[in-house]
Parts: sequence; C-alpha cells; structure tokens
Amino acid sequence: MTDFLNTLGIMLYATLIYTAPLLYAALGSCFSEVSGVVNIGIEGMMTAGAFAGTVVAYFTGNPWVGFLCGGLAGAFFGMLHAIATVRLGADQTIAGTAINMLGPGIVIMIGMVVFGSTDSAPLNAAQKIPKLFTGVFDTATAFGRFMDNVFATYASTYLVFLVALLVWFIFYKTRFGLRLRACGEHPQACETLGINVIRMRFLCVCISGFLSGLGGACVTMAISTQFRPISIVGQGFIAIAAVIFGKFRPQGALIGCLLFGFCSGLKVVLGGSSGVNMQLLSMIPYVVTVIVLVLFVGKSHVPSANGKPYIKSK
Amino acid sequence: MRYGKTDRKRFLYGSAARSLVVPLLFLAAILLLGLAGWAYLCPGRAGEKFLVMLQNFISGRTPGERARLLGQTLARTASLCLCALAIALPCRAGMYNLGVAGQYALGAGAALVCALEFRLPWAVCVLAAAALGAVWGALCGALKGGRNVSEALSGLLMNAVALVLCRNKLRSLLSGGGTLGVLSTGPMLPTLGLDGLFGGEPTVTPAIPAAALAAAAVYIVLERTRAGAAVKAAALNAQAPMYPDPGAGRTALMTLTAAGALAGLGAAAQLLSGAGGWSLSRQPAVGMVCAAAAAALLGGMDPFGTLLWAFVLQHLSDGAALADGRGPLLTEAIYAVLVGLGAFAFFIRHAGKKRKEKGGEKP
Repeated sequence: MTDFLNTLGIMLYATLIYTAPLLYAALGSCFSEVSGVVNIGIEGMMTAGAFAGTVVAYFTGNPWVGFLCGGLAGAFFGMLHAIATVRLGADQTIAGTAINMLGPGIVIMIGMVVFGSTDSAPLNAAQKIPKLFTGVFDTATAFGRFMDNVFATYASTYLVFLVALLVWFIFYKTRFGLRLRACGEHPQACETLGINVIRMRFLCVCISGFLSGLGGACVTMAISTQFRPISIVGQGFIAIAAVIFGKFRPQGALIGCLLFGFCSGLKVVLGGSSGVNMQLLSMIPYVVTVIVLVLFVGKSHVPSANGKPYIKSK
Repeated sequence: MRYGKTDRKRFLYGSAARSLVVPLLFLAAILLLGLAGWAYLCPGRAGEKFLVMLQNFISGRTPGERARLLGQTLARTASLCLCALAIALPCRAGMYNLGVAGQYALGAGAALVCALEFRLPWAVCVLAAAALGAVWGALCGALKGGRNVSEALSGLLMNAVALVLCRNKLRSLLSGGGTLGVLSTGPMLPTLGLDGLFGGEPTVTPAIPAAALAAAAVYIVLERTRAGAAVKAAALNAQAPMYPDPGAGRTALMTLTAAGALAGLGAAAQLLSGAGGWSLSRQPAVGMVCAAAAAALLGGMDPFGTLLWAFVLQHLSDGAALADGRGPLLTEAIYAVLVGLGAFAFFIRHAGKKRKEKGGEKP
C-alpha cells in the first residue's frame, strides 16, 4: 500500500509539472487560434521564453522577474508572427515555421555570446521558481508523503490553473472574449459592428506568444535548472494538439494537457525502475498526440475563419 | 517614349519583375547578413572571410584543388536539392511537408544501418533509405488524406518520433565498436568516372546528375501529366480534402509519399557518397532541413528554381566552412532568417498576384 501511494504520488507530481508548460502554451494557442490565426510557431516562442527566463533569473537572482521576461520574450516573437500574418497577410504556416527556426537560432547565438556555450549556466535554488507547500505535510506517514509528493510543487504549476480559469472567464464571460471569438468566426461581421479585427488578432497573437513564453520559462526554471537547446522539443506542437483535442476551448485544452502531461510523466515513473529504454519512453507523448489527432481532429469545431488572412474591406 | 506611374506599377507587380527582383533581394539579404555575421565573429578579418565565403571553390590555390572543392559542393548540393524538392513538391499541392526532417533522419538511419550493420550493397542502401522516407511521408499523407489531420502538425510530431528512433538505433549500432560522434560510411556510391572531372574527388557520384534529373522529373510530372494537374488542383481548392473524395485523399497520400522518398534519397546521397556524416550529438537533419526550406522558398517552389538556389546556398555554406570553423553555424543562422524572409517572399508573390487579379496588371 505504501509503495502504491508513493508511486501514485510521484506519478501525479510528474503529471502536474509536465502539464504546466503545456497548459501555458495551449492557453496561448487558444487565444491565437480562436481569433482566427494559426500559430504553429508556439515551439519557437516557448524556446525564446525558456532562454530569456533562465538568463534573466540567473543575472537578477529573482525568478519571478525571469519568469515575466520569459513571457515578454515569447510576446516579442508573437509580435513578429502577428506582423507577418495579421498585418502583412503572409502564409500563417510558413510564418510559424519561420518563428520555430528563428527562436532557437537566435537564442543559441545569444547563448554563445553570454555563456560561451549553447547551454546556459545552471540556476541555483534561489533563482528557480519556488516550491509551495514544502514541509506542510507530515512525511512520517505514508499519506503525508503522498500529499507531499503531489502538492509540494512549483508555484508556476499552481499559477497555470489560475490562468486557465482566468482565460475561461475572459473567453466566455467578457465582452473582449465575445469579440475575440467573433473575429475567428466571422471577421467581416465584426468589422461591420465597429470591431477592429486586425487589432484584435494582433493582440491575441501577442498574448499567445506571452503565454507560450511563460510555458517555456516554466520548463527551464521549474522542471530543469538550465536552458539547453533540447529543453523545448515538441512541447509546442503537443500543446497545439491539446487545443485541437479540447475543441479550441480552454477547458478542453486543460484536459488535453493533463493527458499529455500524464504521458510525459510516465517516463519519470517507468524510466527509473522498469528498465524500459528512456529514449523509447520519451516517444510516448508524440505517439499519443498523433493518435489523439487522428481520433479527434475531425470532431473539433475549428473557428470558421481560422487560418484565413483578413483583408479589411474599403 | 515616356512611361507613366501606372506603367511602372504594372511592371513592378508583373510576374517577370517579381521573378527577377525577389531572388535578387534575397541574394542581397544573404550577402548583407553574411557580412554582418563575419564582422561580429571576426571583427578584424571580416572582409577576408566574407570573400572566401563568396568564392568557395574559386579560392582554391591550384586548378586541381578548385575542381575538387567544386566537386564537394556539387555532391552536397545533390542532397540539399533532393530535400528541397521534398518540400517544394507537396507545397505545389498546397501542403507543407514539415516532416521532412524525420523523413531525412529515417532515410539516413536506413542507409547507415544497411551499410554498416548488414554490409549490403549501395543500391540496396539507397532503396532502403528511399523506402523508409516514403513510408514516413505516407503516414503523414494518410493522416491528411484520410482524417484531414494537418500535415504540418503531424509531420512535426512524426519528426520527434523519427529522430528518437534514429538516434536510438544508431547509438546501438555504434556501441558495437565505433566511436561516439560522427558516423560515416565513406564514399560507397560508384563514381562512374565522374571523379576524374573534379580532381579525383571521390564524393562526386551519379547522385549529382540524379538530383538534377529528379528536379526535371518533378517539373515534368507537375507540368505535363494528369497527376501533376491533380496535385496543383488540390492546391487551388484547399477544402478538397475535407470531403470524402478519394481523389483528393489519394493525391495527398501520393504527394507526401513521393516527398518522403525524395528526402530519403537526399539522406542516402549525402551519406553514401561520403559528402557528409551523421553526428549523434548534433542533429544534422535539422540543419539540412533549414537550408532545404530556404532553397525551396527562394526557388518559389519551382523544381529548377529550387535546384539553382540549392547550389547557391550550398556554395555559400561550403565557402563559410572554408573561411572559418564557425562558418556552418553562421550560414545555418542566415538560412533560418531566410526562411522567415521567405514567408514574406511568398507574401510579395501573392500580393502581386492579388493586385493583378484586382486589375493592377492588365492581361
């Protein structure tokens, strides 16, 4: 029983910490996709956020400043994507792919200048995002250890669930959310009502970049201790798949991210003891993502104007 | 004879001007970025390094060395061109083959395993690389054709799976006695006397004319056959795959299968000719795809344009490597920027077309 509780606790802990970056990025993707802009550049924005967050936290010693800067770096790349796709009407998939190539390229180049290596310097405990509820539970008992395993986790993990709630509120309970959804469904109708579709989409893609940047920073400042070029490998694409799985709704994306977080967490539980090849275990989230795409992509309600550049009528 | 403002606009937005101006703008951008990069990397010797990058094989001391360096560039161009065609062909069908890194990696894995583990003849290695690349492309095609899963997203996810599979297999292959690092078969493909034309360079193989023939074949299929017309029709009607039309689904499947085979062939051409190796510590597929995407975008997805740009980009890459050890990193960064600019090139082309449709250019 004790072993079972221990394993379950570790499993839940791993699921939660791997869910957090995916959920930040998925919520960002929701903003962009629902407003009608395909954002396949989430991965590049996460990479920028991961690097900026680590560097700023390393030099300032303040993890929250680093975390915020991670978001801002993502927002900068989001702005580039918005300029290309919303302002200039460039192909959204190609522009996103360009962001995915530019993000890692630029941060690796800056990393070489700052650290003389593609890897950043490791963060110490004070520079990392703090853990909450450490020492709250009595670890002498099996149940206490279980609670400690599950809940003594990084603040960014708790924050993301609050952000998910906030995004849901914005989407479905505010005028901004209604306009945002309308821009993705029928931009011409929005324009006739005096809504500036270009501005709305531009803002949403920047918000998308900001949240993706936070997701990237979450990886390097909570799950690991330093930025490496392989820190962000596929998480952005998994987040997009979670959004498709969740039918382009924040609450659906949350469930999708929990599923993919669980798959990512499997390697923590199975990798240590079962002797299963770690490399093969790391493939599980991608394989599950492809299967989920096959099963759910046709059933998802894609916003009607998704992926279509909006040209303002004269 | 005086030309008015309308005539100038007509010329600027005309297809002939776009075909000429856009590549020239990009060439200027590459040169500017290259100069800026060298100024940053080697402040005192930027001009000298930049000149070597531009000259590449011309900077060789003797005619023999120049011929040898040109041969090396052509050998690598063959691989780059095949990969670029693997991006350009689906693009003509309105699909983005972002899974080309995975197809290239699996092609490389198949070629290396057949050559190093099973000691099979080169022809079998080439076929295995093409077949595995094709299978990986076909999976994306089947998902697109059958379930309307975005080929861009499925391709990117399949890349992750392919790269892990490839690394896992090749690592186990190396543990048998090789050293961790670059895995190479050496020149395995027969040269058929072509090496004699390039100072005895052993990497000059029939893969070079084969790449040019592949570009010609893609052109002929696209422009002169019914299958090519179907491919281009799929691009014109983006909604086609949403309907249960077996024709549209089959077109997606066939196009991505062919693209996967081209990427696999590109990997075989690179590794079996000895023009390059496979580094386990650094994913060579990613750098290759970056350059291939740049070549395809700059070539306007035209097979011959792609071939030409593949040569130009490879020429500059090899020149940068000759100039300095950090050269390849610099050119990779430049090509990443170029892909970004390529999105704008697409925009420029389409903007011109839209303007033409609105009456900016009279037929």
